Amino acid sequence: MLGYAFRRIVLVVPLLFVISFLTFILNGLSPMDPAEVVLHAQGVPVITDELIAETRSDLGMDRPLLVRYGDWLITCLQLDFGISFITGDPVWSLLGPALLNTLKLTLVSSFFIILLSIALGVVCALKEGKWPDLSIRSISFLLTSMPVYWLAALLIGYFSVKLDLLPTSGMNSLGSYVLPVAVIVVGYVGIYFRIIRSSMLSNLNADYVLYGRACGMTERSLILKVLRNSLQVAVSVFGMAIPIVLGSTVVVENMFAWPGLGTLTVNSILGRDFPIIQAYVLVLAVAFVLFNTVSDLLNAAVNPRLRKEF
Amino acid sequence: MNVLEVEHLNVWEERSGRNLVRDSSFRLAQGECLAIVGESGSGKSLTCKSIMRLNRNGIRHSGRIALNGEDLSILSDKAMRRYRGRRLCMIMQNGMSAFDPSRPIGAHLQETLGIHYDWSRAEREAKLAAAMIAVGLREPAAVMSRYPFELSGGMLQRVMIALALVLEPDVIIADEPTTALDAVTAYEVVEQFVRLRERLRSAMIFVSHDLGVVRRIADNVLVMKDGEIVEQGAAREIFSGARHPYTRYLVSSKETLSRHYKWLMGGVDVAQG
Amino acid sequence: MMPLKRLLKDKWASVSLAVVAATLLIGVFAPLLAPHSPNEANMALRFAGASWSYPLGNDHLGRCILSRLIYGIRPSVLWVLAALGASASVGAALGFAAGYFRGKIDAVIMRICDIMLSFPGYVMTLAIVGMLGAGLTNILVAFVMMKWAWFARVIRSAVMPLADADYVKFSKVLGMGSFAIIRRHVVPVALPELAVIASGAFGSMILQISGLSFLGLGIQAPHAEWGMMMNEARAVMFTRPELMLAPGLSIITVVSAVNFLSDALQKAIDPKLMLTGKRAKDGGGKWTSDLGKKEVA
Repeated sequence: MLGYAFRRIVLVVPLLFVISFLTFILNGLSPMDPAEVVLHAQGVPVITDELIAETRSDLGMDRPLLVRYGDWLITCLQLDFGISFITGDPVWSLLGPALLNTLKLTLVSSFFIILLSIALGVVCALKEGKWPDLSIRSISFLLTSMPVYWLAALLIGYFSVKLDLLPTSGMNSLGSYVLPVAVIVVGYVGIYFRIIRSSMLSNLNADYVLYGRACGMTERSLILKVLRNSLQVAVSVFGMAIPIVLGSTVVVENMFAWPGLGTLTVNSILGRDFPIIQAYVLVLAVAFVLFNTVSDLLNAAVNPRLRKEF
Repeated sequence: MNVLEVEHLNVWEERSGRNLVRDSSFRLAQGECLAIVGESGSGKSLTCKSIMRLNRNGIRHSGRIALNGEDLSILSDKAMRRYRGRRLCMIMQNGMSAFDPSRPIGAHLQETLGIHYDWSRAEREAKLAAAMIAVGLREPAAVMSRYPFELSGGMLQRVMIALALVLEPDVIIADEPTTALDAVTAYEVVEQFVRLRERLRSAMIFVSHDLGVVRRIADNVLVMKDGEIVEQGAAREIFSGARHPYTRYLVSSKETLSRHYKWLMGGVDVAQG
Repeated sequence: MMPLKRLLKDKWASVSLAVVAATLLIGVFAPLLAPHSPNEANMALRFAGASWSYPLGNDHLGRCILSRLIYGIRPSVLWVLAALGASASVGAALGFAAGYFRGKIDAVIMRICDIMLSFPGYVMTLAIVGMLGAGLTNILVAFVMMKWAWFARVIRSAVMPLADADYVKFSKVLGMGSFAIIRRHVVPVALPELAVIASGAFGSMILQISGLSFLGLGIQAPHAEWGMMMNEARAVMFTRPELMLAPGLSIITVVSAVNFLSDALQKAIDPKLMLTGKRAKDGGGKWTSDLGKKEVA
């Protein structure tokens, strides 16, 4: 297991380099000269070519690409992502708290996604083709086809405005979590419970269940075995789910004015605040890779077969 | 005396009403080995599963299946469960998928023996070890601590045979136990089955479509085609003078196949041209 | 073609297909079908209710909601389809090349795919839109850039066994050119699989593009787009909730039809899926494809 963990972690390093390099050159995609953007952002009235050239060398942009990448990477590792074009604050002072808020939202949502998916998946698999299975599947199908912001609007309209039970926006109390979490959970449970369900079904129909039955084992004991094997798939699936949720809270955050990464990023995109966008991409891509690695390790810990094959 | 009597067994699919096994009757005497042959989809496996009452949801069966004179279909689920393994022991086709992939082999064996006998853990282990050695698994302790994917198909087949040895059932039902194996391993496993019979004197149903294996092990043969028994009788008679055209076809195609094989081996240069 | 026949036998799949086809046709012929110009403002009709000449009423600028809904099909559905087509073609071409020619081409293309897939899709779309600026075109560019890798990977694994198949080798011996072989033998076999992934991605792309427009990152005013219309309606969500209803229901209808069609297509192409008992072996494949569906989003 330790050997596996070591090899798996070593694999991550080159990937992190590639990702950071891609994020670095992402800036080159922008049709605007960063120097010009900086000058615009600082409110310089007349932008001359000399001024641009001067700013370019101030920003160190006339040096070779790899040198600039190296420097950039080192500053990034110190959590120094530059200065926001718009507010002039260090990027991390904006991004850090936002990341924390988004993580809270993500983890709470993921917890409920996992819980509900397992519960619904198991119920549907055990009642395959009967009414609980059919009704859960149709409802979830409809909910998966629903735009999240539309659902959010409905929920806000009903619970916050009409019943005045829950706050419409912000992150002030535990109540603030209820609606955003509900919207995120609804969006994802439909997908993940299907995975649990089909994994349960393929296990229920597996030979080992038949042989266990032929040996006189009880249904209870067999269902426990099936659960155990199905949840192994679940571990890796949910490991992947958390970063996916992390990356897609954008719309929900905006809808509920959640002070997280999504809100920050959309505002930055609208304001063309490139350092924040770049830092956002880097932080989330790294988080994505790390979550995936951790989920692989967890998966190997519960599934002896994976360790051997690797 | 007949250990197992199957009378007018019908198996059908509930939803479509399609008949899968039609009115099949046969009996199995003490110590007898009955081979069921036929191509895939002829109802061999369904017959076995019906005896064990293990057909999956949506498959129904009717008819009288009696073990030592006791009708199995009127037993409660709980009583039937106690019979499975202890009195009717099944050996699966594919050992690789027959054991829970996330637990060592020993866990399955221990649990099964724990259901049927009040032996202590150490007793169970000792009996299993002796049985494993008897079927040619040289390091029982090591085998028991292995996960199924760490063992070969042939070894897992032997594990199932060893379990049958310990359980001492009235009837052993082996559902194509050699199909998933290569020729050499299959031969060795068949030899284990022959010895298992000698040792236990239990009756055996041996499903196969390999007539060579059937010839080696079976006393009587039952030929199935499209869910119906087309011929049954002593193995020797079937092989020498089959009455039903389908059986003759099976026997002859087996011979053609081996002739064709010999021809192929001798005629490599022809094939390449 | 067998799969198509099987598909049409399913009543609900036929209905879904009809809904999708009708939506596409209405979008294409929007100028002929829309009763008014989608951008024609008339402050006198501000928030007017349904009437004979404005069947769904008017929005905050007095524009005809029905017309905007009809024109909204173009960016919300038609352009998404175009982007999907583009990324599918790019991905299929590269996947074919990788699976068919193997060797270095394969290694390079697959490494690029791995890297593309190791980024979360949503984040990359935002990144590209962030750098290129808000706007429908940029989102579509981002979609194509993000999604081709999914197609490439699946097509590659579909092509690999085919490239080794005897009849393809035979064609090679006969001196058939690579492209003729691909067209003759590989395309017909890989196409159904391509259709399944594409239809699976389609629904989530529609949702995503409307989400981005809703945030103001997509199509810019005054153009009509479903997400955009809901964004505009958001301000009066509590006084005039019906303004959110029309575009919302349109999206739900189209996306459920697409998703249903995608599931039905998968079943029609691979009838084994319907027999759960047979799925023990490739149970793993199913959830990765489900995952793909969301991540393609």
